[in-house]
Amino acid sequence: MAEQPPPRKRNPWNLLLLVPLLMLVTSWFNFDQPRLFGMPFFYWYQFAFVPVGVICVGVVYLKSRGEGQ
Amino acid sequence: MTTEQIVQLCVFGVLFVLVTVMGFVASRWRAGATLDHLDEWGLGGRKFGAWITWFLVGGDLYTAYTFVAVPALIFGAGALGFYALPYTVVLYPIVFLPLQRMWSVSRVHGYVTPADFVRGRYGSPLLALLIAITGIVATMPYIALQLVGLESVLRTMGINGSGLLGHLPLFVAFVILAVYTYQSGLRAPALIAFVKDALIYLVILVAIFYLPTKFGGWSAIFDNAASALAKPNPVTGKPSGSILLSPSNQLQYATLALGSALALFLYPHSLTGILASKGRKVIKKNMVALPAYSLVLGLLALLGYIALVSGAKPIVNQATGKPDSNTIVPVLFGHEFPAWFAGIAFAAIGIGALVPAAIMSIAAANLWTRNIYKEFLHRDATPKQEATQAKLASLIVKFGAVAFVLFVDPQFSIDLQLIGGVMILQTLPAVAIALYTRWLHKWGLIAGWVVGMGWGLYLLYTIPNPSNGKAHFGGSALTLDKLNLLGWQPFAGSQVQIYVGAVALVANLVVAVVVTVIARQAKWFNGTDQTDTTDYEVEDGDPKLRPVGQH
Repeated sequence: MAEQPPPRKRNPWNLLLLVPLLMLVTSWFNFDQPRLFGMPFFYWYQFAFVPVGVICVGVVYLKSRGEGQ
Repeated sequence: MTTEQIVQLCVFGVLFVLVTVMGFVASRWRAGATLDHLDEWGLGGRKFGAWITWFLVGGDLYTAYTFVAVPALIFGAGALGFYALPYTVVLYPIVFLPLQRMWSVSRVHGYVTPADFVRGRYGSPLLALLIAITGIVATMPYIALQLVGLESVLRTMGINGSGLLGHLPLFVAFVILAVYTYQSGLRAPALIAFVKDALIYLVILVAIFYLPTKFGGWSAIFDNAASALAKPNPVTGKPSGSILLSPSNQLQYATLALGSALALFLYPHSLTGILASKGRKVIKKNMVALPAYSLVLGLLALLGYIALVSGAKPIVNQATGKPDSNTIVPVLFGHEFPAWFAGIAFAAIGIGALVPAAIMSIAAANLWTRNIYKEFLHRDATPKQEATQAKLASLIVKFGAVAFVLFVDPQFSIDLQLIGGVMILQTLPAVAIALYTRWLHKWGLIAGWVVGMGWGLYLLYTIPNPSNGKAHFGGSALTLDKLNLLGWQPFAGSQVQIYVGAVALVANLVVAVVVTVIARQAKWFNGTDQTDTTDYEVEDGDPKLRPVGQH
């Protein structure tokens, strides 16, 4: 194979993609209280991670190559 | 059959006819020069924009089976069933970067399947064959499960005959699906997905705001569900579940969510939706927007608790004589909604089965055509012959799935789908890691696949399910106490459970690395790489991209 150019430098913003993985630490949220709208903490905490995931991926998208940043 | 059920059937029928017409019309929708090419039939011309991709991939990942099975899991076991939410939240950050690389390299080289990529990356027909077979075998029961989802709504509407006649409506629905997929290819599910998702969103939003008010609000629902789950199961004498995780199933919850997320885009049908998109930008936008479905899935999962509190009873499947917990959400809708709206809800689930079933059969047909037929049976097949072959294969795949449901206990499809998830995860090193590095040797990948697959299947075989008396394939939760490495039990006495797929994947990776080190020492030939580092970074509109539908 011919000499290949060195790989492009990693974008540090990509590290944000690791943040949503924190929701896999079950011991942080396996509780009933406090409830929100009657929903145990276990459930609404995980629902709250949906926007967290969207924001993290969204920021990485905006900071990625070809988005004029 | 009651008057209510007749109203439900009428609404269902009207919507079903609507999507059938759409399925046939789809062949002319944004048509390319010819349908006689896999780029066109199998990938819709590789030109779907952000909206179509969102509906298509959403319709593909969040299937009818998901919509009936996840609440059913919560209904039966409580908090563990909620793993579907973290699964679909961690999914997108994980696949955000690899999917863009997969899209670029596939567009440069004209790859249609994940096995095509592996073939190009390692120049190994054997490794590509293993990937293709894994994909086909893992997808088949998934299609069968869509039928189980469809049948659960048909049975709820009173079409619950026994014997072969009881399956007739399902058979008719699938023949129609098979014919328009044959004719229109991926464009059919892409167009129908719009209807499916609009209906699903409508039904879920109504259900999630209306139903809790009928049962005293969320607080009361959770409290009552907790006491219902705490009652001892008549068979095992233990509580059937709880609304929180127990010390022993937390690891299972996390590894099941993570393992499922890692596996999802290894399924050929998920990748089909990605490769059909117009560009990297479309993929990036979708990774941001697809979690809207996760929210819906999480809310839907909670319907399992509402069903539990409402006292809904699963319908006894006349074909098998056993109560089918997958009917629990349709039963809940049937009881609590006026008949016309229940009809809409059932149509949403039923059409929700057709979209993924079509995409899955197309993906399996693509694998067969590209990686078995063209590779081993007909080396110089023209693109037109490939397309013809794939159309035929899609028919065979669908009738295979129907035969499955007709002649085999639906429980067997559920077992197989469980196995399929563990199996498809074993292709991760060859498909996903290879997107970044070629360090793993092809013989390392093959050895890792053999070990991961063999051990994973063996472990699943050893897991019993005390609540239904099954001795084997009783679930995917392995008690660490049972983990046995050639006689050595590293966690003897531990009751903590873990997802089998995660254990098998670790074994797969360890073997792959060890064999790679040996192979590199011995300087074994590692195949020829057709791809170039820059192929993985190619942006939309680059001249390197191969023209679509080239003969």
